[in-house]
Amino acid sequence: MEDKKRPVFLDLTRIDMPVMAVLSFAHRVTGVLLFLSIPFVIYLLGLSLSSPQGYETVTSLFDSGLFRLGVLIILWCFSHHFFAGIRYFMLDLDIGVNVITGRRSAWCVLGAGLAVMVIGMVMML
Amino acid sequence: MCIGCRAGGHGDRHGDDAMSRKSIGLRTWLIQRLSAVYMLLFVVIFAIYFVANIPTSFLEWRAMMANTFVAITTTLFFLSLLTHAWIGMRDVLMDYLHADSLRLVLLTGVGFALLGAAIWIMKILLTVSV
Repeated sequence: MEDKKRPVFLDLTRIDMPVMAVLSFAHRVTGVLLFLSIPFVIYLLGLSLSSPQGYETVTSLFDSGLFRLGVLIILWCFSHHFFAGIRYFMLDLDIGVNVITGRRSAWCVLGAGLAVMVIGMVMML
Repeated sequence: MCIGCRAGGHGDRHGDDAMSRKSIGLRTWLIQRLSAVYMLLFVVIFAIYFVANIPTSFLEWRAMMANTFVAITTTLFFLSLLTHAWIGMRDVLMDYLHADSLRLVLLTGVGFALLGAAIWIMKILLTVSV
């Protein structure tokens, strides 16, 4: 069994986090946020399909800055989770399993996730 | 090399552990990836389809989603999503919550919420053409 007296060092502000660790943590955080967004997404999808009035309500929500911000956050969560997932899938297939490629692909994932969010931001302007 | 061996899913007992705990872990690992692949393909294809036929009114939007093929593949997307979310949330809760009672309560809550979401989305998408 686990030795209860072994030293544990989990001071996140003092642990050196390589970009892969940041990516791994972000994969979890975005996953949980996406889970929390599910009821809102289903509600809005159902409302938009229910009646012309419901459709108008959903489209007019985009006039609100706060709603757009929420959509952008969820869009970033989705695109980040999407690209990081592809990266993990490739690692499962033994593609890119070394520090240099791993670090480079992690930066690419961070960039691609943000790029999709920026595209969404431009489209909503 | 067997993908299960590579994933560490069944240790050194390749082939003779069909019902062991480790192969249950492997099955979970596989479902997580299969649902991800389906969602990935669906999102890319649906996004292209959507951008090529952007609906400009309620009737166009409803007609798009009422198409049998679209309704069924979208329903499958949500079922993949909810299964994927279950496995992910289960992993996260089991990693960070060590009190058995709290873990049980939250896992049950997440499970029922996801089942409810599955019924909800099926009601919406499978009745949209009626």
